[in-house]
Amino acid sequence: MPATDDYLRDPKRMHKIFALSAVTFLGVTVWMMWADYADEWRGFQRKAMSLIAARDKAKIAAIKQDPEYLKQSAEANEQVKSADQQLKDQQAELDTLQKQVSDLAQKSAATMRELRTKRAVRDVARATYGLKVRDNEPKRIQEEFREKYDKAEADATEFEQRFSTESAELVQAKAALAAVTAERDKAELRVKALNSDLARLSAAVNKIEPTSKFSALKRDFMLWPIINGFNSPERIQQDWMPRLEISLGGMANVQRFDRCRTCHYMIDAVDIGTKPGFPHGSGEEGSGTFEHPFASHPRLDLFLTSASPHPMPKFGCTSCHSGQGSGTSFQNASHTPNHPVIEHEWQHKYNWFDNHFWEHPMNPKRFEESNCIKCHINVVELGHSPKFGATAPKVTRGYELVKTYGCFGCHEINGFEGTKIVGVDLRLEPAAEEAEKVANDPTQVAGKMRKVGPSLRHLASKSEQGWIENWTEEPKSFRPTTRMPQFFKLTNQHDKLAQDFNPVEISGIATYLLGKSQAMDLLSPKDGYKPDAARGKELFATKGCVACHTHGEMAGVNADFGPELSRIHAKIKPGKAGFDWLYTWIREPERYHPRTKMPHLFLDAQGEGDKYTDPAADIAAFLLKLEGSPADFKPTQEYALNTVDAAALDDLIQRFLVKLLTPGQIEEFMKTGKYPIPAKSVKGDEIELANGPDGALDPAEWHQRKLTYVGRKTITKYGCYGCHEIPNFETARPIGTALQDWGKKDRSRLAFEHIHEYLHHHGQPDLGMTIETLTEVDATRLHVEGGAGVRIRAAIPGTTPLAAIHVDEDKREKDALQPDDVILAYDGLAIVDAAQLKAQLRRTEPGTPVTLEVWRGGKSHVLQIAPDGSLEERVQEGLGKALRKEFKDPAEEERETSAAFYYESLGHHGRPGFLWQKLRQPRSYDFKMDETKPYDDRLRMPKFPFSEEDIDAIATFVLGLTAEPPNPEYLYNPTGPAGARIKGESLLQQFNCAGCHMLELPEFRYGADLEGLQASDAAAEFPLAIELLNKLKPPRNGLTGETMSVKSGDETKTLPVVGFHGLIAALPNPDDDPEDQEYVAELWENLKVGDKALFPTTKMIFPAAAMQTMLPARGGRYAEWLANRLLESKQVSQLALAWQASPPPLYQEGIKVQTPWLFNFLRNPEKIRHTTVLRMPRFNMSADEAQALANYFAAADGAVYPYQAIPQREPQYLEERTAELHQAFPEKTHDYLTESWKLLNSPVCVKCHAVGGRMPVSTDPAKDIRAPNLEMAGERLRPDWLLLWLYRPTWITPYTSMPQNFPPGKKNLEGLFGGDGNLQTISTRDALLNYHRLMERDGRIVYDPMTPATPPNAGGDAAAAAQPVNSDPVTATKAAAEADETGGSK
Amino acid sequence: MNRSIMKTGLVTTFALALAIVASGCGGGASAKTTVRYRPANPDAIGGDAVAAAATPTEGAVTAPGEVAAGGVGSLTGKVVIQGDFQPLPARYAKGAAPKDTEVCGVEQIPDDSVVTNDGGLGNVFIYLAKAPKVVPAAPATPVVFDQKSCIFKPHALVVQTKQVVKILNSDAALHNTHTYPSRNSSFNQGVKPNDQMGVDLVYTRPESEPFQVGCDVHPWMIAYHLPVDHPYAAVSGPDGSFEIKDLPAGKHEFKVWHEKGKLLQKSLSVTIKPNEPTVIEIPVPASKLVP
Repeated sequence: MPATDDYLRDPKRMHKIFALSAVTFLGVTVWMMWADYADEWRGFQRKAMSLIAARDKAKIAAIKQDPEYLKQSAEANEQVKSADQQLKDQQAELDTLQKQVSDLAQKSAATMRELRTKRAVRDVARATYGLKVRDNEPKRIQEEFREKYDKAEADATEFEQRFSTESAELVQAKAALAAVTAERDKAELRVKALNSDLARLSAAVNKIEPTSKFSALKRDFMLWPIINGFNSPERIQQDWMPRLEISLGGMANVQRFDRCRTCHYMIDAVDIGTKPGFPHGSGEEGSGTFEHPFASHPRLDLFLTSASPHPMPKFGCTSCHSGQGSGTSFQNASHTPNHPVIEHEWQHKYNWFDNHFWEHPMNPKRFEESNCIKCHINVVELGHSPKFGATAPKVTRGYELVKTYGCFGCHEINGFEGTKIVGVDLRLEPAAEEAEKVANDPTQVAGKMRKVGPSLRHLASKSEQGWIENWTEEPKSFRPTTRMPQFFKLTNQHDKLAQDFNPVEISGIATYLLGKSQAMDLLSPKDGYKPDAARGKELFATKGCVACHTHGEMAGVNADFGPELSRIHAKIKPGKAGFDWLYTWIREPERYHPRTKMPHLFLDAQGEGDKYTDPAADIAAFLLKLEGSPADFKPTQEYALNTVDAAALDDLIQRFLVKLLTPGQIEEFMKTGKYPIPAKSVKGDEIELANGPDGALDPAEWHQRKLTYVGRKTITKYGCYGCHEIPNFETARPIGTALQDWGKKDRSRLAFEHIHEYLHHHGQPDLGMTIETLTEVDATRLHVEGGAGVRIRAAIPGTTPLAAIHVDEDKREKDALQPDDVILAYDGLAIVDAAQLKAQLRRTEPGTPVTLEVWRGGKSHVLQIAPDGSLEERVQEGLGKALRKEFKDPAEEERETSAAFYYESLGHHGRPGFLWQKLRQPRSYDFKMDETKPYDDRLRMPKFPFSEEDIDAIATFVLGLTAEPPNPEYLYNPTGPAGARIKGESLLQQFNCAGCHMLELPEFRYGADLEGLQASDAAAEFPLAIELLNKLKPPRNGLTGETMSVKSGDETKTLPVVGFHGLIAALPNPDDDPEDQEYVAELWENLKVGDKALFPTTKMIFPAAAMQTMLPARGGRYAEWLANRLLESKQVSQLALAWQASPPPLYQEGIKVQTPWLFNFLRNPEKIRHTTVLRMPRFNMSADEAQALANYFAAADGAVYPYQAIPQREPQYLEERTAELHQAFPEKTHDYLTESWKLLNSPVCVKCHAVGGRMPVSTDPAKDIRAPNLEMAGERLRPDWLLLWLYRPTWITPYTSMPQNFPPGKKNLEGLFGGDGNLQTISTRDALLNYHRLMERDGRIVYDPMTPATPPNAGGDAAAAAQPVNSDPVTATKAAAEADETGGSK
Repeated sequence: MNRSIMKTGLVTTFALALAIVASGCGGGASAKTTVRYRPANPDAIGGDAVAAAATPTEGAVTAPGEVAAGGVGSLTGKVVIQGDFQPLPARYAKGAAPKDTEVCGVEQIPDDSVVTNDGGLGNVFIYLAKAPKVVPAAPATPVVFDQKSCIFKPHALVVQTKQVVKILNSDAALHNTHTYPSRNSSFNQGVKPNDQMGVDLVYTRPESEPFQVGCDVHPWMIAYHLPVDHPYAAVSGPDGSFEIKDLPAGKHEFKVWHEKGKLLQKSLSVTIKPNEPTVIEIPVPASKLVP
């Protein structure tokens, strides 16, 4: 078809369409670009920058208003001005000098330019000549080029010289000029320095909010879309951790990129030191705090900063917090709300939803410490660090709970893959049979944990069947504080089957344990010894028992390291046998179990005749409430035996055997008692059945055999051997799920079963009614006797009221709680308020029967209920209250929102929720399951007495167990002192060292009137003593940097807060006037407050109103209690003496004792102090443990270990001292040590110490201050410490009775070292360090200047001085001359 | 022995100084020689060293005058045991001291915890509970605290803060003097045999109650010290009598303390009239003195 002029479409219309579509596409493009540009993070970053600018501007304003700055600045400007003025007078000279400088500068620059050319020419000539040499040109040509080079070189050298001359001249001229302008230059420098902060801040502000229009324009331009791809001020902040990979769930491990700082822009901003630049808080105007993401990290000393142990470039953010590091929006970062109330808030604010697709969601705040244990596999340093304090207390608590309750007995936590560390390691130590094999296997690392329960190997010598059954069924019914969990009477045991079988199982366990119990050698007190319970009580208090055990008769001290002993008399078997068991246990616990935690207390019998006492027997008598002889002992309670239903027993056995034998075999066996398989072929627990006697079936033996079998089966089933040593179970494996990677366990592998249905109606012990503390009005109205209780207010609508049984004598009738019932007691415990009742309810296992005493209709009734309510209802109520902000008590709000968090987690099949409910009600997952699963497959996890807070801590720990160690370089498993500290911390806990000893002293912080502080007088001391004090105890700054306002009389002062460590000497006396009430504390450390030095022993006295905080000591609760008890019971007259009688604080023990000595002492503690009422017991410590603990103390105090140099024993030192002695006292011919030995044997030390076999005279053993035998001092004490101790004993231990024997300014024993106290002190120390050598060489001597014929007269000094110094009054077993000779010959 | 203590008790270091004060002030109430600090065992004070130090100093002479604007009066009295009290037997008979017998055994060692004579109770501290606003400076003369025959002399000592306590040792054996104050730093130094130069001890802060002083070498040696920040304090003599001079007129609260009965009176109220001696009797039930 030929072309025509016609258009197919109307061009005009087409133009419009094209135009429109062009505009639309443009619009879409713009929108696209905008959408790409308008990221969420930009808003955050912009606000962050404006906050930074605002803060800097405020700082600038503050500086500019600071009068000190204004004053200084004015001064400096004035200086500049006057310097300028002065220079004006020298204008001519200045001009000349300036001209000279500029001329010379020009000239030398010109020369330099020339010089560069000449150097180039020379270099070319050198190279060309080199080429000729290389090409082996004829000699002539080579020489020609050589000449050319020489000429160029000469030329260059000339210019080099010219330049150096000129630059020297220039330097001189500049110096001359500077000399003239020196004043002004200095003044200008000062101005600059003064303004440096301002300049820095202005520059920072200028970057964000430029002042010049051009810069502002440029900045705005750089923020434009597309342009902002090129170094824009707003950009993604990214940290790259190539060695900290992240696992993308089965796909690959990729390098980690964290972009968290894009929004958390100021996260690493520091203020002064490591204080957060933008402290976290409400962010309200004027609060000085900021909300996330505009806040800084709260612990910049610990994280992010380059000096911290976790610098940002190495650790990033997600390695600790988890979350999606690459995400740049709130949602994509995978933030996780801490509880549903926050979740609710986030949904509104950020459209938050739970993103299931990211495998590593951020840890909610409650689990923020979980990830710490990925690298900190030893955990203890997270709970106690000298530098950083308790940095992760919650995960540490979780770890400690797992350790204390022995979870690892059933749930192994294996921190090793072969020998490679993968995480926290908590495994039982191998049984004796396996230990050697494991030790010799290079591919295995042995577990280290001991079983947490007592050994049951010799159970029959301790208790009887009735008690054992009673205890096994419900341990807390005997001892409410026990850590033993409950295996019976739980939610999956309420049906008929379990009710029938449980008594059989319990009886079986007791039968098995008693039947297999092995005999042990028991000790007995001496025949006819009558134990004295009253004396036993005193010994129980003073011999250290209450450092680990609680006892009802010991008021004011509670310890839960060992079991509570108040009712031990109801547990031990009757008669002499029972008494002897306890006696043996107290006296030699290792007889019962060689690895027991109970130490050997050295409670040996002592005295003769009437004075004969046997402390262990007395203590046993006290504990057993024994009145007559041991043979008369009768337990204070009797226990009925379980009735074993024969049919149930047989039924149970048949159920066990059904997997092993045919129905026919079973039937035959039950009839004849002859096991169809020969005993030697039986491997499992059935061995108990197969080992029957031959001959006719004896019904009693048959019954016993069946019970034993059921017992053994039940022990296998419940894994009792995870905590207890039980015969035949030595090498049995833990029964529970291993936990080392539970934190990443696939959620689909958790059996939630019918838990939601259960929790809908159950799971929360509750009365189903609203309650309130009984008011006075109601008490009167209802005529309640006593007037205290909790009133039922009303039924909760929609809730089924709780069923109750009215118990009246032996009648039991159905009943129900009603409004206006007043609950007076709960399981025998008097109830006085609603909070207390709620606490009791929370502690109750839902569904277990509880007896209530109820006031109804003017009299008291007994009702039995099984408190059970709906967890869902509790959660809904809690959430409602939290959203409406109705909680008054933050702790309660925390508890309720936590419950809501876990409940919701359960709803989403989350690990935390599963764990929480598992620990609250371990058997609840069997709800409606027990109807369909075999009896044997029912859940077996026991119920532990954990509070919800405990469970939260355990969850934090367990969720951190992922067995996914980051790159090995990130594992924190240090060697050297840091490693020694970690090992030691574990051992301190293991042996409960802090039960007796204070490891750190209490800290006091108070508002101090600095002017009123009396500085210690250093001038009154020996200079060397001060030097040594500052070396061993470097002065610590007492100023905390805080201030507080203190009211005194009518005025209020703002005072600086001073913190110090010491012991309280006097508490405020409430009888005094308020303004006279004061604290008196004795300082133990070397403190510096401002320019005042305060030495130890300074009394810190401050008004009660000035006290800010008193942080308790670390450990030593028992020592404090004992000291106060001794003082109150008037056994000692002074607090200082009471402390000397108690376990000493191990304050700075590391600088005190020699590590090898401590090692031996820990293994076998000898008696050191005679003033203490008890002595250090012997723990069953392995050599490794003792070594680690000995190293710990040195490492903790920064002392050298494991070996210590003792220069005072070395010949060179001794020869120098001898030379000095001979020079100062030419008449002395013997050596230095001989002189020192005389000093040590002079009538000073020997007054209290045993020296050289001479015992100090004792006057009254109860009152004497008998000091330690000096024989051990040289091996025990470090030289520097010993010297400081001799200089000033109280600087080390303020309460000591050791006097300062050679004080400055006094002369004593002038026959020795001329009476110079300083020399005498050093010499005493040296004698002690060489004690054994001197004992061997010089033997026993007596040095007494008072004994010679000249009678002591009034002028004793004169007499001593007048004596011929060389004829020292020494009497010795060896002749003195002989001693001199041997000494002199050295 | 008690008699001799009484006799010498009236002649002390301060006697002269106070006589001058009394007459110098023109009070005229009493010009007889009296003491301000009267130790229970004043025979400790004596000997050449102390006599030399007894020269009155300016501070001690002029100071009381300053506080006497409203007139001064004295407080005298007696601490009397009510009920039967059997004097305590000696702690160790002569020659029976168990340690350093050649030194400590030269005389019997009495049990000084309750000293009584003629129904009076000795070694009772009577002191103003709170220092008045204006207080005379501490005397420059030291008080002497001696150890002789392994007995502290005096057994009860009151001293003004900043006044020097001179600790002597008149025995040929080492003693260590160990104080247990609650507000002052504790002191524990060996005092060498026959030390007549002595060791100086200064208390810088007042204490609210007397505290124990001991010797750890000889555990039976016990004394009590009380530093106060004013001069208005006394220790009763063996017969229970005491005197506090130059008290500003007006109402005062005194504390009365004894080592067995501890704080016998928390605030004994006494009104002092100018230039007039006020005489009181402080009864102490015998039951309080039984351990």
